[in-house]
Amino acid sequence: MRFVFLLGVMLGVFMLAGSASAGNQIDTSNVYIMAYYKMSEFPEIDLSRAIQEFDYVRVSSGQYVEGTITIWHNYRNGRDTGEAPDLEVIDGVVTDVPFSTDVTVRVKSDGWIAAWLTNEQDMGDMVFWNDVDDRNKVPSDTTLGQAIWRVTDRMGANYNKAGVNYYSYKYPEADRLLIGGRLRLYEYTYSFLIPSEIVVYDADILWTSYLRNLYSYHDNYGVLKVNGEEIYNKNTTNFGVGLYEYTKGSLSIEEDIQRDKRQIIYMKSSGWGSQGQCLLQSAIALLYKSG
Amino acid sequence: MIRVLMFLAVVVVLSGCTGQDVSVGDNSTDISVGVDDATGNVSDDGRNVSVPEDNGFSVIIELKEPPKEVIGG
Repeated sequence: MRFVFLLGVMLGVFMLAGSASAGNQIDTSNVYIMAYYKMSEFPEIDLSRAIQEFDYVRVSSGQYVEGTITIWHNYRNGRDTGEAPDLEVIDGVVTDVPFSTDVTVRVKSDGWIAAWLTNEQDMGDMVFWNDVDDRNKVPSDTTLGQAIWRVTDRMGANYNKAGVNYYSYKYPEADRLLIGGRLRLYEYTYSFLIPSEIVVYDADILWTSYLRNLYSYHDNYGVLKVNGEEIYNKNTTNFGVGLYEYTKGSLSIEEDIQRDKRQIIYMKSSGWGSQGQCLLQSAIALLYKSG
Repeated sequence: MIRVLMFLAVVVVLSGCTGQDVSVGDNSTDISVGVDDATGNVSDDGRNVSVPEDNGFSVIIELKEPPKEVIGG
């Protein structure tokens, strides 16, 4: 009888230990898409240093730190250093929506960094827009990659963008993610085509708009069309209205997109002057299984 | 005896709980390159999605299931 009892205790301890270990796993059921990267410089990561990069910490143990890193879209490195507005502006009204994307990040003591979007987020949260009021900047990375970069930068580690891998737990059959688009000051058209052979899981047209009228008597406007249909059109006709649009938007197209036919995205904006500015960025983001 | 049986029953229940945890099947440690330079005007191979590459940006990322140690605690 004692043997049975002892065996039971041992089994109980073993299973409880296993349960605790499994409980420390990332809950992938709420991971839309994840990026992961190994910091190879250090055999052991100083988590007390990594934690300084987080905006919010949910778990901090000897093995890992997990929490949120907020990527601010109007800064080159994604950190809010106070020079740009934090909140989106729509029709001249300051909203309560931060011009940022929250990325969930886990940094492990063995050097792995995982950064992911949750199922409540979408493809629009993937693009790091990188200085939306700077006409010379294009998106330099994904928001997930930028969050990983911030940790490596904090740690003094190298960041190799080509060393970041991605995976979608929401759509495990997907094997490709495409992000492509344009930054435009005046008038431009670009296009994309999706063959019928591929399976599309998620597809969005994304954009950012920066419109400002200081003392310009000219219209400052931004227009975005898909196959001739207007999806965005804003015009700052008010002299001296200041910052009028400072926002990002998205349009889900996976249900409606035509296959084997070139899709046209038309962009037009009033340009860049000292008194009135409009800057549009546009992208498509596709999560799909290649043919 | 009844206490022993109750304890073993608890053990069996706990065992069932751990079986419900999410696990990752890929045990690969390969983290080979899957990302092109976002500013490098990269295009797909023509068989899949394509984006014209003049005056813009484009990146195609190959998705790959992470090794177990990424997900583990």
